[in-house]
Amino acid sequence: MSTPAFAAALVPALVWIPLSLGALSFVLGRAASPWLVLPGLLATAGVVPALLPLAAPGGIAAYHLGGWMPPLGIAWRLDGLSAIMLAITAIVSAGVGIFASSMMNRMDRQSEWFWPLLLLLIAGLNALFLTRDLFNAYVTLEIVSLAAVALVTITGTSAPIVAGMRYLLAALAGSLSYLLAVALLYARYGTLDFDLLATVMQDDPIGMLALALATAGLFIKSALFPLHVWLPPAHGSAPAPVSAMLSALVVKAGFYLLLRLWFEVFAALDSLAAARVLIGLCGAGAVVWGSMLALCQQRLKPLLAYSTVAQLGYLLLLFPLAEVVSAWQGTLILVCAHGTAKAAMFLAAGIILRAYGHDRIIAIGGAARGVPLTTFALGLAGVSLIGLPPSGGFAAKWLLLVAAFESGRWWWSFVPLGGGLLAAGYVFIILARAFEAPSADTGDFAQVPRVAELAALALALVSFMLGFAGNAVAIGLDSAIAEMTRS
Amino acid sequence: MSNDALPPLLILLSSLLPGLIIFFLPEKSVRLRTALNLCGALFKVAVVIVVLQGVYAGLEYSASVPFLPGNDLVLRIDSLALLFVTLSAGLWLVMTVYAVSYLEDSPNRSRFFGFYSLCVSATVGIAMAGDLLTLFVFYELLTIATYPLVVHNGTPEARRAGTVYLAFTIGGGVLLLAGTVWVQTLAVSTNFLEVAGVLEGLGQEHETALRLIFALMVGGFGVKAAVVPLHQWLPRAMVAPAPVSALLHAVAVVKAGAFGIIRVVYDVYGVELSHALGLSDALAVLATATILYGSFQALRQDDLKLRLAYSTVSQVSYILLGIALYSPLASIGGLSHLVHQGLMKITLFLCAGNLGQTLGIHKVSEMNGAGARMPWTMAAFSVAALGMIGLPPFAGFISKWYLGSGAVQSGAGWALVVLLISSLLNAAYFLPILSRVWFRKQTGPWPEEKSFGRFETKAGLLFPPVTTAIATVAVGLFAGTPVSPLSWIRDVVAVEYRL
Amino acid sequence: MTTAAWLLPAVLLPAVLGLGLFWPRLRGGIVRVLPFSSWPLLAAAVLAFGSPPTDLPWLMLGVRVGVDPPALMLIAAGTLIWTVAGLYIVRHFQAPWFLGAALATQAGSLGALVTFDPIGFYFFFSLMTVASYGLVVAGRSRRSHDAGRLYLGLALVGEMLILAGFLIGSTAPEARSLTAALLVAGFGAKLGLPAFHIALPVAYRAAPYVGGALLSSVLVNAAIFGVLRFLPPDGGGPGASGAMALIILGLLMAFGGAMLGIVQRDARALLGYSTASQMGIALSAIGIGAGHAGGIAATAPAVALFAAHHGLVKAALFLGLGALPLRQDWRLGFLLVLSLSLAAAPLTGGALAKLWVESAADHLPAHWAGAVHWLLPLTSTATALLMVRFLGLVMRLPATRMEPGGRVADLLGLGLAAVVLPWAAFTLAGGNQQLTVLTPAHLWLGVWPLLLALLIALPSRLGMKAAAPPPPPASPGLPVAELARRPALGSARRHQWATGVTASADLLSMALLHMIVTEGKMRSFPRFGVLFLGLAAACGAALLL
Repeated sequence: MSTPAFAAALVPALVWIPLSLGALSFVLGRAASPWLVLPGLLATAGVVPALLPLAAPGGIAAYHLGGWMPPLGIAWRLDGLSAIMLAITAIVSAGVGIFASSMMNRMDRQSEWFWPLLLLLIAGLNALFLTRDLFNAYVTLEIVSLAAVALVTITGTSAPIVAGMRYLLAALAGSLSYLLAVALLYARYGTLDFDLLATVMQDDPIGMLALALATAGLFIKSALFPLHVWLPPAHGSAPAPVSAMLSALVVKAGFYLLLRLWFEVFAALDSLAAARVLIGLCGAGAVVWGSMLALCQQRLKPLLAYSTVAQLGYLLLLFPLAEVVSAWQGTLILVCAHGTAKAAMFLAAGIILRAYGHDRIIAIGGAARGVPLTTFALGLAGVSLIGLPPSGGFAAKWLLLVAAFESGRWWWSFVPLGGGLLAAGYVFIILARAFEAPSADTGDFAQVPRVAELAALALALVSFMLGFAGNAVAIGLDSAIAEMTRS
Repeated sequence: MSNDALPPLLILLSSLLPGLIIFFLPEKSVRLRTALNLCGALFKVAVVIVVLQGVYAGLEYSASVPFLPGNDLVLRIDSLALLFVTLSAGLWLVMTVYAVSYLEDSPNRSRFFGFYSLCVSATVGIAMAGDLLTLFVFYELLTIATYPLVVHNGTPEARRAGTVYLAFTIGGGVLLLAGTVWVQTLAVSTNFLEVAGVLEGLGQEHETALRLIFALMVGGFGVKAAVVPLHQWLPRAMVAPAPVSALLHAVAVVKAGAFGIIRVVYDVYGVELSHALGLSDALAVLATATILYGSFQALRQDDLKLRLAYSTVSQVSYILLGIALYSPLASIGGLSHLVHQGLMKITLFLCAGNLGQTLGIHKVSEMNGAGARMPWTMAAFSVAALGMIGLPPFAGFISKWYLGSGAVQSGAGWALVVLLISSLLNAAYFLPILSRVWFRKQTGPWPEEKSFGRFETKAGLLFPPVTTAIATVAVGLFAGTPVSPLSWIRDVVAVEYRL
Repeated sequence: MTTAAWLLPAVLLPAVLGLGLFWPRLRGGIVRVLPFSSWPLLAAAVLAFGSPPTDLPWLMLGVRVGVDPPALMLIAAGTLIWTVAGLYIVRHFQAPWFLGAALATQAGSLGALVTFDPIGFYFFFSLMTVASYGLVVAGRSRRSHDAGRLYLGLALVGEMLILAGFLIGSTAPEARSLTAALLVAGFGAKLGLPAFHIALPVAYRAAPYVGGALLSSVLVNAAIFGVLRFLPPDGGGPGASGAMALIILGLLMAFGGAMLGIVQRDARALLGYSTASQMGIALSAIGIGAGHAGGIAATAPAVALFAAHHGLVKAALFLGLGALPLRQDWRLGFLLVLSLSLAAAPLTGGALAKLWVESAADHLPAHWAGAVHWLLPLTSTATALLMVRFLGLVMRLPATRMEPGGRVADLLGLGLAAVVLPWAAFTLAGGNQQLTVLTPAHLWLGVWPLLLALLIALPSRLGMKAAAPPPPPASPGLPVAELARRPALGSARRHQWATGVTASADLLSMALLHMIVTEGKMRSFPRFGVLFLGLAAACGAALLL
């Protein structure tokens, strides 16, 4: 396909393409947007497969911004973990882009702002997944947060604006906390490069304080329990494609950075065990709390939002189980499976909202007949969310369970097991209604573009088929994990 | 991919692919849908016949699909698997013919047949699963594929039934998942054929773990096998259309549960180990309680399908009892009941469906004199009911004979008593039906009579139950021949007991 | 193979005819051949007689068929009975379900006689049991259905006991006593063993006359044949305890049945108890054989002859009671002759059968032999008394209650056969060479019990007394069926369950409510801030400590 050198040169393209296209679409305005943006989006997505071989063991591609080496310059690097995050970003954003282009009325206000913001968000995410520098990570994280907040409020109606403002304030608190941590580390060690920091890191109070501050900040950014409260209103009221992006990708960004911090920068320290258990407990709490509240929701989108809170909890189980390889595999498959599944479900919710004019769960009877493809997508994604085989969600859960048993800390297995039950509860609350005979009062039924339905279905299918991608993820992760499980 | 890998995949795909295609067919393309269904079913039967000959000649078939890191999906056909595969393939063919006629002119048929085919695919998958993970995967797939069938009618009642079904099956799935993972970490390999009993050879220190795992797995499979008190979804699921009931009771769901327990006892633990740990005794007690409870409940039902449902609860535990008694004869009985109960119960449900479709009869008390109006349907029903009671020469007798012999052989006289009491109870709830049907006068006009030309009902509704009834007679009458299920099962058991 | 080749099609012929009834077009032809459908079996049995039994391993779990002397006797009697009953049935009943039931009963009752293995026997026997339900409920009234339920319920209990006996017998041959007890109890359900006897009067009265005739002849014969064939040798040898128990049981039934019969007011119920009484004699005869050096096989032909004779007489009595279009006095005469034969009056077939049975008792230990030699003739006295009562009841029976469709010639033939056939069979079977039944001593042996009966009957005017004590109350029905009809069991307890469930649901919803409220509270920024700082602090603490 290409020489490694050429491929390595493509790495920054992941950021430059969306960034420049975003700027361009902002300039060109609403008329050209989808037709310009969509190919660009797909092109960005197309770059990822070309890069994947680089992430294979031994093929780590580094890129130094402006040619400056750390500690002076900023390094970007593509390893297995990054590659997986980039791949899932590409897939979800492609799906969301196709969906949005078919669903949005090109002439309304949403459209004018949507595309530039979306591209900015993607650029920020891609940069975040590549960077090896703590401050650079802060910057990208801010880009992502700000773009996300703007996207939430894009419709200009009151509920999203209130939710968006809360999101903004919470995110700012998180950012500042993280920034403080960065400052502390820089003052103590004089460098912010991941690898350099990892080698010089000492087991002292300053470092610990920095880690605690950064973790708490990233907890807010990722809406990790108990700092999740901004998420449900924001994700529940934003337009469907925005919710999809936020739930699938944005919240994972903070989590990704947590991984880098705990398992690379601070990996060498021995005193993290108790804190890891604490984080694991937060994860367990998230699963229970989020699922229970999801069960209480009466509308589809808030339900999905709380489901995100719950699913993020699984990710935190990695912390107490990190020395087992399968925990890593499981967690990353879950990142992908949940990302695609949740994006598909939010898109499906958008379709149902469009078709029925509301998303009250109790009154979506007969959706299986009205929008069959969408219902199918909901079902497939739901199966993955519950973790029923052979979906991606199952593969993830299986690996987490294996990790729990192999590490001897079998009690962590209760979290995925019980969480699956609760997830089944809220997923089938939706599906049961969908299979009902249509009620009499579902009179006005609007047609939905077939492409939008297919986009949701495609994402759901990806999530479902991810169960068979376990080996690929495992291979991709080998190099990264080998480094990270040393601790 | 070698030739040996092809048959298992073909068996799986012969229903999976038509199912997936059917989902996307428009509601109106009845012919194409029916053709797809029938071709799939016929093709599956054909492949099964080829495989039967192959296995008989000593060939081994296995295929594996890459799945999780370190755990492929393994499909393999051993003789136990083939038994279940043959049963489901054969019955699927019959059921397809029936379902096509039954659902003529009803809404959502594409969805129905899509899931119907998925359901069968999951079942053969369970049968052919070569290790625990694969078994679990298909077991859960079955849960998903069945749910839409249970709620197919779309009524609030159906939705509630579906919810109960899910609550039980998903809960069971979680238990099973925990057990499966645990086994995975203890055992060297969970491949059923590589090691006779996956957990055999573990030392004393694992005894508690082994007991807990057994409880988890029996809990998980027991939900589908409708073991008391996990049976409660089954009677409620009777709101589904008759072909679904037949599928639940005879071909797929409860059988999958029972088959899972068979795998646990034989291939995960091995007969010796489960006996030594006293696990099979616990299972026997559970099965006994279920047998009696189901029969007593069946006595109280006036609704025909409910009566049949509780009968299933009771009868499926015959299989478990046979497995649990430490005796080759009992095992033969239990395994043969897997086949025999399937044949008989499917007949009963199809006949019940015929009564509903043709005469509008849903209750036992409405059946007076139905034998004169629908002699063939009721003859098939009678054959199956008598078989259920365990009268010769029908299939049920063969199972009961072996179960009883096994009970005596293992010194479990109480099991024999339970069997016989249960037979009496079976008689007490089946024979009054037969008496009403054949020997009582019709008491009034039928609730909702329809007339279908030449036969007593639609031909597509009539022939399937008659076929299975004939099969019920044949497998009992010719049980001694080398081609009978019984002979096959004898070989299976000889392997499991290392005779 | 030849044996099986002859027997199998012949045995299955009635069943095939029964299936043929499903095609309305064939019904006419089937009705025409129905009475004679048992003849091929008789022919096949005669042809197969003497050749060794054949194994049919492919049939069910392996079946062995053949014909031995007891079987041939019972087949011959059965063929006769079925022919006469069949001629009656096709004139009197047209409903296909009844014809089907009769054909299936026929197939079962005769088929059981040619099997040598438990499975084949059990098949035919249970076919007979289930199908005979149709004969009981032929009246289609509420009463007949109740009777049918009781009859079938008890019959099935018996069936289960038999199955248990067979299972234990084939799997654990060493448990002989248990097997024997189970088999006797199981077959006893047909023979009117105590406790099972409650079904006899109920069923016989509810059934049409022909039904009663068949129940009390071919069905009980199949049962007695089952005991003969499958009772395991009880440790062998004279004086074995099992054999003695069987003798005592049989005699109890013989006298008890007669006593219960005498107090009946319905002639058919009386005949039912008479059957129980006669079968008691047969059982004690089997007991004699079991305690005999030669084992059961030694008395088997004698018991079979006794049973065959009883069947012929009983069938003729039932049909003569209800379906003999003759003048009352002629009819009484016919019934009297049959009654005499049943009571083993000299020169009748009954006497021959009984003498043959009795002769075996010589080989018992002395004190047992003495008791048997006294008690067996006394059973004839009991029978005679019972038949006197029977004839008395018949005299008061108005002739108008006769069922149409009976034919004099058939019945007379049957009666004649009952009296004469045992002699032929005895001669053919070679009999017991020492048994010379025509000596005066033997004649006296047959006469004194009857004289004793006369002595008792005349003063008490047993037969003539109008009022007799009421019959024992029949059981209301099968206990489990009652259970089934009861309304929901313990609704109060269920209610408790329900409250338990609601309570936990309430608890859950309360918890959820609290969670929702808390979630709302957490949204306020001060609280959020506290949480945030708390988490950071906790994290830091965890890291530092």
